[in-house]
Amino acid sequence: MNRIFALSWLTFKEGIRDRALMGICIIALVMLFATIVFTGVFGYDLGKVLVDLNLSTIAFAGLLLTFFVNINLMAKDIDKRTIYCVLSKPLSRTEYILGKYLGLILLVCIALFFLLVFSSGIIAIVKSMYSEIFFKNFSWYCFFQAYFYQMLMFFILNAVVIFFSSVSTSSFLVLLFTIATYITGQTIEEVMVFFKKEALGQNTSAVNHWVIDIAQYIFPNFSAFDIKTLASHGKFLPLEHTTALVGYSLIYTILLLFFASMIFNKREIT
Amino acid sequence: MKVNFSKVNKSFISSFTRKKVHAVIDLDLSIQTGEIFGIIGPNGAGKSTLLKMLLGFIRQGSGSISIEGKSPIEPETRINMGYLPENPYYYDHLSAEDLMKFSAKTAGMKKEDIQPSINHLLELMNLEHARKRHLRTYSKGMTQRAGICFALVHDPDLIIFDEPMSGLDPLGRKLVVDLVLDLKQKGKTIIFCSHILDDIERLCDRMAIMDKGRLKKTLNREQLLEGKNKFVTEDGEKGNNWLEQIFIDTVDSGVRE
Amino acid sequence: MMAKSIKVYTLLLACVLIYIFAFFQLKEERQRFLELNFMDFTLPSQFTGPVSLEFKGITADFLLFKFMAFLGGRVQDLKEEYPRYPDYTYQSLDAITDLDPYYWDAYLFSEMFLAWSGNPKEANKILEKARLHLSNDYRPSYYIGFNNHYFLKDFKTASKYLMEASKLPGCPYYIAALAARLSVYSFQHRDGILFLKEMLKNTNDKRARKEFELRIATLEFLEMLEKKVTEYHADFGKYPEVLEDLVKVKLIDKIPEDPYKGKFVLMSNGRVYTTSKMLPY
Repeated sequence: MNRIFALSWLTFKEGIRDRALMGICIIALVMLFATIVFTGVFGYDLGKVLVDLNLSTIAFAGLLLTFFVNINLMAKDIDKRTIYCVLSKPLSRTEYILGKYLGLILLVCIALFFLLVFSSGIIAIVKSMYSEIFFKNFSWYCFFQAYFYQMLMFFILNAVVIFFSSVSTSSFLVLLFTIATYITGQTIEEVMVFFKKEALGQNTSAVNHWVIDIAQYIFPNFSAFDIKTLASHGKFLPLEHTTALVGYSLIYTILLLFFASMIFNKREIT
Repeated sequence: MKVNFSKVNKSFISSFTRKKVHAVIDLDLSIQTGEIFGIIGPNGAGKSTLLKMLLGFIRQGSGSISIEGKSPIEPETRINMGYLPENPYYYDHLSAEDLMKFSAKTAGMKKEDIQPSINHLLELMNLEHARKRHLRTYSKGMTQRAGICFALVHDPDLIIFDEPMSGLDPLGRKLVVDLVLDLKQKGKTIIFCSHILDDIERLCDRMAIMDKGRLKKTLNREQLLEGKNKFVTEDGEKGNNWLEQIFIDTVDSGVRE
Repeated sequence: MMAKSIKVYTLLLACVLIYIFAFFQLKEERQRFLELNFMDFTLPSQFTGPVSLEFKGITADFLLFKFMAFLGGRVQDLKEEYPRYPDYTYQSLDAITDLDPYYWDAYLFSEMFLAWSGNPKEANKILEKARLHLSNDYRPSYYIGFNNHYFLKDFKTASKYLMEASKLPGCPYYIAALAARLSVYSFQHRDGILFLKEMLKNTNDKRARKEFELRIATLEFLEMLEKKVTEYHADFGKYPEVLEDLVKVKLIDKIPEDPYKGKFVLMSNGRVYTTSKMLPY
């Protein structure tokens, strides 16, 4: 166990000192400060816009972090041969996978938590600038719930990164496949709904149906973790919903890590 | 730690030409505890492949490898092993100290022992002044020395050096030579690959010459000294380039696959 | 040496001056270009929905912002300059409310810029979404009911919706009364005034407020004129022929000016209307 954490810590330290991370945080902070200015422009429901802008900035920063810093941390290892110094230690391949994953997660958690704190401050500032009436539907609970769901999504997304990294050494391919999985994950629910509607009207090809059916089990349903719109209107989701989502996130991540470690065990490090 | 290779074979399929490349062929080798064992050979002889199999990076095609009776695939085998890769490359943004802490922690060192060991090695390898600096700022020689520290911080019994002297200035080389001899005193087993025949001569108890995946010749110290005395070049110089001559002869006369 | 650096600096200065000149020139040209070539289409929500992935909220915000920018001028001017204005408005607001079905500002705009600009049916289509998603809000049902009553003259439907609205929390008292009254056809400018005053209370946007205040002023003039006509009838036993008759008998000092630059006209049934396009009937 200690060994896994030692590797996580190593990965985390390497990531946190990466200039790219700093750049992402700076951009995110600038965007957050900009919300102070932009919120006022949007008519009546300022609370809605404020929450939208803040949560979207945090989500976007997380995506940049996952796609560009975390993938780098994984792919660089084999590309630049830094993996030798790690695997020459008494770490099994599985422990390596777990250690790296926890390191990536730690990085995402710390960075996004930092942004969350700033974001909360900014929301407090903007709220104090306008009268209460424009924030009728605002709710801190919803805001934090949306943030929590977003983190659950990133737990899965980073496991996807690990999975593809175990299969391919090219950081570009890992990036491509992870982005593709992300986009599919976000849109699969809508496609399902669309197909159900169409199916009522016309005869869709059976193959299409079958493909979509399988796809919804294979691809992670990321849109389920996106409650930003609801949160911005002060609508929250009940505990059962949250529990189901946590369960789904956990299981899917475990499965991905399991397959990743299986594949990685067979890999030869030349 | 006793190391044993028995009828080990390893081939790769070159993805470019789709041809089978035999990296290691029918290798039999036994290394005793407390030995300094050198491996020399031309580029592409299979030395690095051999070491990588020892570390569990790649699996042998057939045959068996054992380290103190254990297989290299088991992670436990590596608790007491230290490895310095050829052309080491370490994480840009970490310092030598970070790296060594990681090495020590994963090898299961006791918390109280870690810092003293780090301090001792950094001083020994002349890196005390740069301990907190990021590895990216290190010169080649410094990286090499940092790698040695990384490999030795947990006081391993089996040490594997792949080209330990590369990139070191004469001062650095002296440090390493002294270090190796010191380790031998402590009873450690050292395997190292090098292109620098002088070092091999100076340090090794036994040496092996590899070529095209095969172990061509094994010599021990006595044989080496004996031969040196008898060897005279055309110019009448005594002994100096004997190992080089053996090397050239052995490699050239190899059986073609 | 000096000469060389002077040359370099002069060149630099010249470049900066040219840049400033070019910048303003370009700005003017672009302004002209944009006015002539306004992109009056929106991507439908079937497209923007999936494309905006998990950022539907801010996409909706941004689209509404775009729409508000488009409305920079007064609605009347826009209607003349852009014949596709109703289509664009409808498509835009439809897309926005598909992305975020709880976005009240968008529904408000639908009422303001579709219903009150001659497209009540379209407004109702969008407001139905509001009615579905904001089921505890009286306003969607109220607006739909009002549109049916005030613009579409469909009093049966209007009554149904207004009744529904009156049962929801926060609904003003007079809506129930209006619903009841609609069983008897009774069209009054006062309904419009009350409606607009309610909207005015809930609006933050300066342009919208100005719009409302202007309409309210016009309706109040109409209401006042109708009252005077009734007084005339009471005094003289017949309706005046033209509004100028009211001035002749000193019931009013002068005919008020129509804020919408139309003319107030008296109809044969004693109602007063305006020739301006403020009211779409």
